[in-house]
Amino acid sequence: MCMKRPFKSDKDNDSLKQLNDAIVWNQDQKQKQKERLLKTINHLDISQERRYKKNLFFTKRNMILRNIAYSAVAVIILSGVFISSAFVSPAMAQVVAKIPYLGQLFYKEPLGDEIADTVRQKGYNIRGVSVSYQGSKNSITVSVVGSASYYNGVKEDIEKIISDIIQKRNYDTYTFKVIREVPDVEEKEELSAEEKKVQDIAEDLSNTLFSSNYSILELGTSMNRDKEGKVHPTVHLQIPNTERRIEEIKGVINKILAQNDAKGMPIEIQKVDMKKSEQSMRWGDIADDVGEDLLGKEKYHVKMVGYSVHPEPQVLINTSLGHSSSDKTFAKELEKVINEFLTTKKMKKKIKGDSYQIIIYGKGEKKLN
Amino acid sequence: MVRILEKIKKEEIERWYDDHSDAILKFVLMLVKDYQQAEDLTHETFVKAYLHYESFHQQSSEKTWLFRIAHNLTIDYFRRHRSINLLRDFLSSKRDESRLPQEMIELKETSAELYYSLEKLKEAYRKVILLRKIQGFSVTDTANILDWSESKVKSTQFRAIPALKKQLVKDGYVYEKTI
Repeated sequence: MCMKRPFKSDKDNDSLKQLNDAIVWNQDQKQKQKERLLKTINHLDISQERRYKKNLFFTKRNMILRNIAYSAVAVIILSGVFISSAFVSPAMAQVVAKIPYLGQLFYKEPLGDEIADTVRQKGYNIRGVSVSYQGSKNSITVSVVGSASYYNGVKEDIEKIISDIIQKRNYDTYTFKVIREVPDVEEKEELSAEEKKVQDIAEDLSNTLFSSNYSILELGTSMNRDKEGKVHPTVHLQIPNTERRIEEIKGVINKILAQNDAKGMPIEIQKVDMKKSEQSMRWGDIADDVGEDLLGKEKYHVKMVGYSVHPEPQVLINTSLGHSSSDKTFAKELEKVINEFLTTKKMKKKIKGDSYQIIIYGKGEKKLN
Repeated sequence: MVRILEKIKKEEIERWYDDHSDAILKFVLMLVKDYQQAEDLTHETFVKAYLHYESFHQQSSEKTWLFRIAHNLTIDYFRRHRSINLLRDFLSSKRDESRLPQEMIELKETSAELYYSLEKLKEAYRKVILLRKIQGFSVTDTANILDWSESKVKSTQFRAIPALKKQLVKDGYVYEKTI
């Protein structure tokens, strides 16, 4: 296949090369940083060195799962994820503090972050911290990287750190464990001829379509096997729902399929509402922020914090409250505090003027507010 | 004996720092878009290199190895900034340009537009342009640094360059005329 290269001239390359020289690092600063480095190195003694995994480069990437939307089981894996955000102005914090049982909603950075950062700062080699919320069972797992003897040597220390952090925050809904990460065995993939072909098609398609002026979000091929082991290669395409030239795009794809001796391969097109996607991502963050403290303390009776943006943004709070009038009063209070939180400057920035609802559920998914 | 080895190791790291810290800092800076973070990550890169010195077996050049460490560290950094960056990549262009602290690092006027356009590209594109075009790494070295296959480097590069061009045009930087 012929690849066109709109940027191939030497000029273009030169200007990119020059960019490196066009950024000039202050040499005094460089020297200062060098001194900092030497100082750090001098402080590292050999015992500390052992704490680091030898084969740094064979680390498999952690998957970060988002607690997308509202579900019965949500697991968030944090590996020092999120940066701390102090959401609340002092004045606001005081207002909140007056509400007796919801004093410390606006506390601090996410729990998983604080644990990961603290453990790492103390020099322990961990892969990450995973925090999982399953109904009423919130659990934290820290996975240690290293030999069994390293693990045995540090396990208790790390447990102590976690326990201290949880206590400091007055959280009482979490259990935790420190485990040793079992090293992954690196697998070399050998592609079959069939797989190779489908992969090549994907490459051809992306080479053509991503350099075209069609708006394309994702593009790929898949080959699912059915029960009889028969392969069904398919082209997958994700486009913004504002892209109207679908038939045209299909035409381009079909042409490439024909060139690759794959005429008639089905094309699956998924249209994405960009505004909704962006909104959904924002509200995912907002729900994370809202849930941080609410999930940590038994006294809030909060079991899950979710969100939905269809049709309009909603923050969904699942609680273990009953349905008595005092439960309903509590739910109202909870709603009020969350609302106040959402009108802080920091949160307003994330909300971007969206109108939203806070819905609080008691036992049996019954609405309380 | 150990002491002597330590000394050699320190001297080597020092030399590496002198030779490569500039390039690493700029690479990281253009990935994380925050000078202070870039400085810290550069620092961490060399500390890691020191700690893992024994695992450097010269299958690649020290520069490739250092870049690989730096890249891994930025991935960790991004993980911590997951939400912000997902959103940023998603919207790709709607973002305040992060200006640089002049007293620490200076961006020459002639390349400013290229720099800011490049900053707006999505991460994978930026990485591949930074390594292949700006740092001049080979496809093999780039694949090694990013932990990608060589064909992924090639195809990403192929998409990245037009994307950069598009961005430059979009930003009102008439590429052909300025150079």
